[in-house]
Amino acid sequence: MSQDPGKFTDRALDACQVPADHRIARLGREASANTQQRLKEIDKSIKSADSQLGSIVLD
Amino acid sequence: MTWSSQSLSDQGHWDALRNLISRGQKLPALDSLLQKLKASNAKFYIVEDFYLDRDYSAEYISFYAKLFKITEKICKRIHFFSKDLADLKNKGPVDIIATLEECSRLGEYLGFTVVRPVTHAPLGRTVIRTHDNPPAATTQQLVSSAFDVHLLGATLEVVGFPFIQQDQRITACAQAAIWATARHFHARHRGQWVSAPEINSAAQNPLDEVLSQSLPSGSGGITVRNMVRALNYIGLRPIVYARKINLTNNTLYWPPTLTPAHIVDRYIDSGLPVILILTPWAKDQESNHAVVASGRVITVRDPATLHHPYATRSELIDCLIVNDDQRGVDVRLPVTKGSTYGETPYNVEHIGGIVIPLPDKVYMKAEQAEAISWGLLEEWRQLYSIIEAELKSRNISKSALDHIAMFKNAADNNEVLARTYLTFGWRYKQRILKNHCSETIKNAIYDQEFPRLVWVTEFGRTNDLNLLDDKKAVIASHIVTDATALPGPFVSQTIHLPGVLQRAIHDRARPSNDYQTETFWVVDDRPYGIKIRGT
Repeated sequence: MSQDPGKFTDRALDACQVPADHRIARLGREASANTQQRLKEIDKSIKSADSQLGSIVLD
Repeated sequence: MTWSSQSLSDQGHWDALRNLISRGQKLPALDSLLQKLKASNAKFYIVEDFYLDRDYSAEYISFYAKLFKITEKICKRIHFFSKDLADLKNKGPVDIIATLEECSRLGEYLGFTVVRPVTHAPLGRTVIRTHDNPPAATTQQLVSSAFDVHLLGATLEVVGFPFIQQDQRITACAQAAIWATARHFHARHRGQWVSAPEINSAAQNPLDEVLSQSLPSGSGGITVRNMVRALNYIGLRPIVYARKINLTNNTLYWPPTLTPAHIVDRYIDSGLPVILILTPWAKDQESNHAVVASGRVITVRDPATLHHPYATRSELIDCLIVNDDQRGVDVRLPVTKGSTYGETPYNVEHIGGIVIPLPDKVYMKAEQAEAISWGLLEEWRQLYSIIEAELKSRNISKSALDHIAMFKNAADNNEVLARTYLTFGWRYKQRILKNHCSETIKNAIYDQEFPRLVWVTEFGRTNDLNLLDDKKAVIASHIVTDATALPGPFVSQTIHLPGVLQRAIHDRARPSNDYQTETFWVVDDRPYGIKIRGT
């Protein structure tokens, strides 16, 4: 095992790092309108569920 | 201690075993347990005749000791083996220990059941490792923990999910489901040890009019609300999913974003037991029921049925494996219409609610993490030509480029499956470093810090995941989402999409600022293994 594994991995990664101003570097920076809509729908589906469930007796 | 043993070489022996436990009562849960033991190739059992059980003692002190009619306090405990140990009686103590411990090492110890001296509900604490796999399917017990068992001086181990039968005095189905959940967390994650009376007491605080409709209170059943209180008491943070009400015709339905089997699967795939609230399934039935899901049976699908947006590997599920305190251990609840493997009178359409006992510090739901990941995959598709051009300029190998192009083609044609599960950040890192993925991915993740709990969404081509053998399944991408975050920007800790990897790191100078991100070209990209539970 390397004495200094952190430096080894840094060197290996340096060669393939995408410059910070490259379009690809902004990947995931902002959720698309479609994703935001899907997240809203999921949240709404869970929160608008039947409120009577809590009173169901389980035997 | 007195003990006896018996081979299970013919039906007469099985009948005798049934009578020993049931004392002539008809008990579907016992029939099912014996059937599962038969399917698991049980050949021998040992009975501890005088067994003081901690769980039953708690029930005894809480209720049975207070009755005028005398109830015994001593149980029996029966241990099952898939090896005939008929010559055990002729051995000395040292040889007996060696024989039993060898059985445990070789997986020939199948587990135990405590037989309570309560005729109407004899099945007490039970942990059985079943091996009941239907043909052309794979059974995956996803939620299990190891239990140490001490017998005749030997220490044995059984890996399974706990079961207890309701006694209709202290426990109904809901308390039995909570007990099983709590005992799993105790064995697996050092959670609190709680007895059934303690669960009952937590569920009844405060007492309400529903609980007071039966004597002793709660014995006739508890509500979902009471159940949530009891789970909270044992240190879990339950999240409840329920159907929506259609106000035009007053019917209940699951919205398209919430498919019950998929909700359940994402959590059991995370090693979390899931409590299912079952609505009446038979004519004239009024009562609701609770069971605990702990596994699944998957089958290979016609690929065409999986080719649609946001498809998930959960669609391979034919049955869920559930512990039903009235019907037995590891019974199969059919999910697929027309499934021939189902063993319960109810099916997925009777799931009216789902209770997930989450550990503390999980603030994002599985569906949200998966939706965020699908969004990233879509963004990658749109950026593909830029990625491809850059990789080509970096002399990417033909095999790596073909792999990436094939995945792009699959994504364009809705031929991708997602799978999302919760895991510890350190565990995720350990798995990926041991995986046969690209070295660039390993180098980037090696010194990355992760939250305690993360959601991982794996993406692979349908053809690579529509398989029975998880060891042969491969993925092309995965996304790690901070489970302790709320949905929003910068929740993805690691994004690996074919050809590209991005990692989020704290800004050391200003740690409370947004994460800094570092992105890398993955020129050595290749398919890699999916997470296999227990590895």
